[in-house]
Amino acid sequence: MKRGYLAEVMLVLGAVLTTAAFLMTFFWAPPSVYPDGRVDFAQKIFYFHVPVAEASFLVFFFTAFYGVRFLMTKRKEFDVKARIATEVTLFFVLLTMATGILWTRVEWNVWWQWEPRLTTYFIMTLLVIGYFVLRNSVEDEERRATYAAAFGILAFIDAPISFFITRVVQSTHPVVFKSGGLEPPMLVTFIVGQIGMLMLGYAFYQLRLKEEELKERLEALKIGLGG
Amino acid sequence: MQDIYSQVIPQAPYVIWAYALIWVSLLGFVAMVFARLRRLDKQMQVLEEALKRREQQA
Repeated sequence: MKRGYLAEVMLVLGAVLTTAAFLMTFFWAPPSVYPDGRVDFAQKIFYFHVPVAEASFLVFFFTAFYGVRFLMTKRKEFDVKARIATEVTLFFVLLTMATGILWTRVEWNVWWQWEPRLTTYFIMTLLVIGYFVLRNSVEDEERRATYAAAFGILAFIDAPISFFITRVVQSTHPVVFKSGGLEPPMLVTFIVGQIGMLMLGYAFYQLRLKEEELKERLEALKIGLGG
Repeated sequence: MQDIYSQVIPQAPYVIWAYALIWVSLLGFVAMVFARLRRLDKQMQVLEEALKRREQQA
């Protein structure tokens, strides 16, 4: 009851903030310009592409976190939490890839480039998909949960690598906060969108968790009726 | 002004696609989860009532 209520509050707040960020993006944040003075309209994608990507990293952390907790306790609830966190991660990862590809097409004139950030994020996408492939390939519940927990922990190592790689290795992918290069209205718009997206991520995770709990209770009731 | 439009319009479809994808996906995700939650709630009610009836009969 409490979980569902909090999730719905976060969902509404997240929806309000992301809608505000959307409006601020197009009606308040000044357009970015290229060095030659031309308007860089595609930069508007940044205001949602980055929050979605950051959300994917953060939610993926919970896959590893609950993976560790599962391996320590062998409690099923941690396996369920890790799986749901990975589901939400997959959702954000796919959105990041799709919006990133659209931005790349405009800015770099190609749909894809094997540069460090894109490559490491692509590896993360494959790892997240691989997590579900692994889960579906093991029938025994206990073994499935153990393998998935170990895989989730190892897969998460790629997230900080992908996040920090543009700061360490020469990359064509922009590093927005390296030199504090955002004007205040741009920064505020970005922060509003980021907080909103994280709230949505939290709400999605909690709502999915509520659904799983309902399913389990339903199964228990069915068994109770059948027995 | 015409100059600005000529710079913005070629990039506009990609920006529109990006935002459309994000909004449709977010709304789709929420709609799907709520639809499943509603269905599960209904099933739960039916089963709980069945269980109650059985307990009364026993």
